[in-house]
Amino acid sequence: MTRLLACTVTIAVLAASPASASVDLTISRSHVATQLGDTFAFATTIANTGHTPVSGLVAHLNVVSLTAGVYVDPEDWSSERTQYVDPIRPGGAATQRWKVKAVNGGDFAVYVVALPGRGGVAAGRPLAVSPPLAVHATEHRTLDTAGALPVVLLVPALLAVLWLWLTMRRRRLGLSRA
Amino acid sequence: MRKTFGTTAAVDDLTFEARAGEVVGFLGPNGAGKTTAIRVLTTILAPSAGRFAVAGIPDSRPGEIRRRVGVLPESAGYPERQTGEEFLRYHARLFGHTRPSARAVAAARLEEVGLSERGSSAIGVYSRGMRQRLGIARALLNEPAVAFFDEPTLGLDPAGQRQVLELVVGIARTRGATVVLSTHFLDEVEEACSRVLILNRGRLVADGTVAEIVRRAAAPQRARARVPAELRGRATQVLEEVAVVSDAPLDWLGLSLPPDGARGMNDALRALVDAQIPVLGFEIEGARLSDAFLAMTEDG
Amino acid sequence: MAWRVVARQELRDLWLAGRGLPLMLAFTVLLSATTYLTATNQSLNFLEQHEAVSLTLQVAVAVGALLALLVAADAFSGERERGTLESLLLSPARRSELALGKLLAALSTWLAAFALACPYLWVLGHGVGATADAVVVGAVVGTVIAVALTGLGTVVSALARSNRLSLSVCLLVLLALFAPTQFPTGAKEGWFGELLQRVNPITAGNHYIGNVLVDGHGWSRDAAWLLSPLAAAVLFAFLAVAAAPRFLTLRGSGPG
Repeated sequence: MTRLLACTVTIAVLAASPASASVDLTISRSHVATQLGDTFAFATTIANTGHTPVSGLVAHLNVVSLTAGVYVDPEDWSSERTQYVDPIRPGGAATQRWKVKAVNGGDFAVYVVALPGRGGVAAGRPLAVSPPLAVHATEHRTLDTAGALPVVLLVPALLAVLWLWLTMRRRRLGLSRA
Repeated sequence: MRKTFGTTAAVDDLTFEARAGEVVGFLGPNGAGKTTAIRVLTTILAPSAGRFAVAGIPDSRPGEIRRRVGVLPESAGYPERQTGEEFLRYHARLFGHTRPSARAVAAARLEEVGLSERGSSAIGVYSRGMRQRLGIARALLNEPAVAFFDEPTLGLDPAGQRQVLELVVGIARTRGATVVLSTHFLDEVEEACSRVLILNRGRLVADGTVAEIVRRAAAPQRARARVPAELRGRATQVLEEVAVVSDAPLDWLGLSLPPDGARGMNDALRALVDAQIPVLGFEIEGARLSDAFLAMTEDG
Repeated sequence: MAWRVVARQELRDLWLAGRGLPLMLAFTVLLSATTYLTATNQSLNFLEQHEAVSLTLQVAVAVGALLALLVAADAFSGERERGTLESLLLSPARRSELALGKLLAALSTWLAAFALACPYLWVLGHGVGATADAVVVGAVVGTVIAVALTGLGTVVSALARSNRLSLSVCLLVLLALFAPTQFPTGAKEGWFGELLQRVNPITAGNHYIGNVLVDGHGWSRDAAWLLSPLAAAVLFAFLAVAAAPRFLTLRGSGPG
């Protein structure tokens, strides 16, 4: 019975995702204050705290708005949100560098998840997640109606006046002395 | 020179010469090849066979030929929104004139064709006659050695026709240029041309002066005579010895005389005089060239 | 030089007496409407403003190139229909010089459209520092595309028997070139989808514009995308000036 229990535990341990059992994620920064449109960088480190090599990991970045009602499209923040991690030996670590642009104003959380890539994610297994990077992006309005109105109105108006003048001039030519 | 389109010979074995100062008439029914011949000679179309030279320049140098010829095409269009002066200046520049020179040449040509007062009007308001005159002005911009006019009086009223014809004839007279005049109007050819080329179905069927062509065609001459009504019967008898007599409107007698025109007419008149029949009127009917033309171009 | 004389007259006919100004007026009304809508959008965020600049530039390139193509498509076939081609062919000017002059005049439509688009690009882009990039990339990419399309239009016009045929062929080609820009993202992926994008000068040019203005790529990073627009420009300009004039006739080729 004990042997059966030991085998079960061993199997359970062996069958557990390497990511969940022996992977630890850390992040290089805890908070960023930036302006709308600016790019900031950070790094994550995946450490193999287990006794067996870990391979096939996929690191994936996500962005969440901490303010209700603010729509975030993570693809707008970073075009390279997925990195495929090389195998990590026991006790070793791998670092991923990320560049993110703040395309919304407000408060956000940026985090990275490590998933077992090849062979698929085992159903129900917890994922390894980094601590969140708190981002505060200050908004500044860069486009205003008043600045656009002169151009919007004047350019077509000037062209229309020019066209009218040329048309009148041509008509005068066509109706000259018989 | 020969020009074919597919299997159709639009111009077939056309051979002729024209000298400086001559006005050569191109006559022929529709589809005879007149316009095609002109387009080949003015390098718009390439000949299918044969060689030609215009103003002494062989056909192997088409750009040089275009420098030395002036052309009024049959279906010339004009840019409606340009003024006459602008149109002439543009083409003068294409012929290599500088801007001041082009301005001067354009003004001179407008004056010559009687359009100087309308030079600053848009061509869109020009009448057909004015457009034809503008086209003639354009044809003269480069002081051509050879000028081609394709149906220059088509669509014009009689006054317009006269104006244009006078301009065309004047070109040969005052400039010494060779003029090739393609026209349907036989009286124009009789009046203006020193030589006539009659084309039919792409072939040259006659080449010579008007008199030579009429003689060669052996076309009968037509005339009509008027005599007192009571002597009509006797006059018919007398005239039948020298001509074919038929009734003509308004008491005239229609006469079909032998081709040797003057002699035939003299014989008819002498016959009436000898018979002591008063001659109240005697006229040559129609254009003699028209008889030759019809005889040479009607289907066989 | 005859090409200069032809270009000068064509420019006068197009801009002083013709359709040039009303076409530009319609173009600026379109730009004004889109710019005003963009400017009054209260929730416009940073990325969308860059995209607005990119979109405005792509509209300017598309419409400007279209107008240049339409003018070029009328170059010879229009003269043919109006009966003015024969007078032109009777001049001693070489056919290639006639073609060059007309091509340059048609290209002026693009240059005018781009110049008129610059104030709008400034309005949309100066707040996010995108104006200079937009103007430079637009000038380069737009001019290359315009040269290609103008050359194409001139070639078709020289050969087409009628103006209707010339315009139809040119518009069909333009639609075929622009159609892939509307494909869903999935259709553009994979080696074949990317190959189509790269070979098509319009999609390649648009891709380059987007990469520089929206994604912030450097000028040289995606320079390979400019190969097909450049190749098309060189090819069609050569055909228009050197090859098509050999086949320029009074009647043209093909069905009426």
